[in-house]
Amino acid sequence: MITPINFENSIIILFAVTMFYVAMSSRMEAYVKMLAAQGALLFAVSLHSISPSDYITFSFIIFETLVLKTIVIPLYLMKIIRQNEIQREAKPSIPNLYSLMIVSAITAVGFVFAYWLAGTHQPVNPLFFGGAISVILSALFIIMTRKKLITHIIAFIFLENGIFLLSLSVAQEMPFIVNLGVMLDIFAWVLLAGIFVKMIQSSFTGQNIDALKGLRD
Amino acid sequence: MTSWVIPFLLIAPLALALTIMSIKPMRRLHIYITLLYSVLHLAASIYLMNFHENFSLYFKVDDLNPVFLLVLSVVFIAVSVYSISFFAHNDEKNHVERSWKYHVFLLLFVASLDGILLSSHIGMLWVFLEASTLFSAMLVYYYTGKSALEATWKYIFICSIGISFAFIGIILLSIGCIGGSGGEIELFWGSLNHNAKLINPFWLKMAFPFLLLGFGTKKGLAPMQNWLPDAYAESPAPAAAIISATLVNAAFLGVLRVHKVMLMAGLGFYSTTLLIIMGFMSLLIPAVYILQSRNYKRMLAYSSVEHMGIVAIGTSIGGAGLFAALLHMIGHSLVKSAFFLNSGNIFCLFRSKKIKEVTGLLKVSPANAWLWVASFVGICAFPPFVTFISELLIIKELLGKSIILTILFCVLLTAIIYGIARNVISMISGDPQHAESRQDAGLPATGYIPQIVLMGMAVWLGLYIPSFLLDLLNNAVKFMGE
Repeated sequence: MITPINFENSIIILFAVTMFYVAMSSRMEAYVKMLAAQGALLFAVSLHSISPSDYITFSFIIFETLVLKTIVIPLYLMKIIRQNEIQREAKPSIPNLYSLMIVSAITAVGFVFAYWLAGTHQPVNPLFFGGAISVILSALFIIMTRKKLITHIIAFIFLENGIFLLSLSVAQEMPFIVNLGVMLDIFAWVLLAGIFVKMIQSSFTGQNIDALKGLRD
Repeated sequence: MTSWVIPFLLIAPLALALTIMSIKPMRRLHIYITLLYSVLHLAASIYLMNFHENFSLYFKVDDLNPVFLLVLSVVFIAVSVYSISFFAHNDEKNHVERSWKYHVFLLLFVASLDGILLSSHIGMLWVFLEASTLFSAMLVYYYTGKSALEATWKYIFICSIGISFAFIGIILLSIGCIGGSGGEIELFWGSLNHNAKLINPFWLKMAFPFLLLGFGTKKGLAPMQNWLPDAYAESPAPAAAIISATLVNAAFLGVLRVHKVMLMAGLGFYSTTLLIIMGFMSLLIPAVYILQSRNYKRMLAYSSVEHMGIVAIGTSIGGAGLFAALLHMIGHSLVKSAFFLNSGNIFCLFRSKKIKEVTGLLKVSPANAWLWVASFVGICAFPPFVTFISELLIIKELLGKSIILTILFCVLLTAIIYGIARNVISMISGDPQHAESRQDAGLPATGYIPQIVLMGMAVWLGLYIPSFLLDLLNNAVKFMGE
């Protein structure tokens, strides 16, 4: 029988593992599906982390994770990808196999660090902390090694998901931190996706970072 | 004491922005509304400077923020006056029909800066920092061309990463506040300062680099400075002036507030070391890139990175160094905003931002040439500008700490001065080569007065610092040490 605590642990491990799939895949649709998967996993974690008695925050978070992160954002990105026929991340800076190895190492270091912290009696849930740190660092790695602008946006949303998980670790004591995390999501969504994907789409064909080299000394 | 002035600063720009949106075709009125509000902003700043008030728990005037508010007001007025000239001159790239957007986002940007400066809670400061990115991005995107789009994209993406880092820092700090020895500590600056020793030092040390990187991104500190040259070069001159002179200051206030918590927690050595490292990196990068600069607005952007580095180094020294850093921040804001406004005139005359296409400025427009030279003298910290006094003070204080760092500081500054001087001299001397430069732009007086006043103030402060400003600076330094 799966106990609630084991269920939560399994979800967080799955959340971190999604980055492995991102690291070894070049397909845009796979990235977006992982984004939706992370949204659903965060929804499941939120159900356990946020007290339903605070029903405003609770419903806000549920809307954020289930509606926005799991459905609306992935659907919108999928639409952009299909409209622009961007199928693959062409020529990443390093081969996918190496990316997978590095993301695996990042994840291992993240969890080892988190468990070391917990061992020194620091007030952290090692799985929450380790999962969040792994996803944040892996997302930064993806941003640095991929060239498509749309991949950068997706990786930034991965980064936000990691931060959101980190904010859930202090949700009981400081619920406003979670609200700030939601604000970060809204901010990024308005700026990065809402405005600029449309603009970049019209001016930078193929949406490759190489196109952004007009301004230099 | 609860004030109506703070809500006025936060809400009035929103109301005025809505007003401008409802009268889109009345372009002249947009300018007057912004100008009127800038004067009211200065009056509000002076009021708050004299009567330290608060609004709810989240907004407060203490001993640190009045000087920042005052600088914002002065630069805002100068930019508002210059906007009259900006929208009047015959520039095909100046989309006059979009003037309402410029004024709306300028007002909202100033409101977001007021929010940053007056926030008494780290979370609130972060929210307004987000808002400032949103509104300033729309100013950077003013010209809407491919270059503007590229610059705005870089600006938004890098700043978003920076803002995310700052948020990670806030979460780590909150873990330290939960797990400290004093029970749960609230994230108000006052509470953080008062209970700094009770915050778990491990988490405070973890949080500081993220907060420094996050706020440092907006401040333009290396290694997160990449957005600056593109954003400054592509935004319209008055927008570049206000962003370069005020946004970086607002982010600097965030750095100062976090640094104070570190000092209060007895972790001053840690934060000081990181500030020194980022400060010197911010001198090294412009020293390399300014020599290769082909665009005069990008050159000014690298100069901003340099000055933020100087301010970070002064802050890390503390005491008289911090006094000098704050004085330098004022001097930089005055001179850099004048420099950027003047770059708008040069663009109007030559229709180019390329240094090699701007020659013979002295023959084309002696007034602009002398303003350009004066701005150069001020930004390179030559006497009688206030930047000379502040840099001299920082060098003196740095000499007391480390002779090697002082030598490195002076060498890097010399390289930067050489780079700027070479470009400025090539721009003002020789004969005008660019065909369009022969056309007289016929700039109105409002295209010159703001720069003259700003530089006049920088010279005045270099010769005599009035007692009210001296009090403001001393109170700020005392506040940091309390």
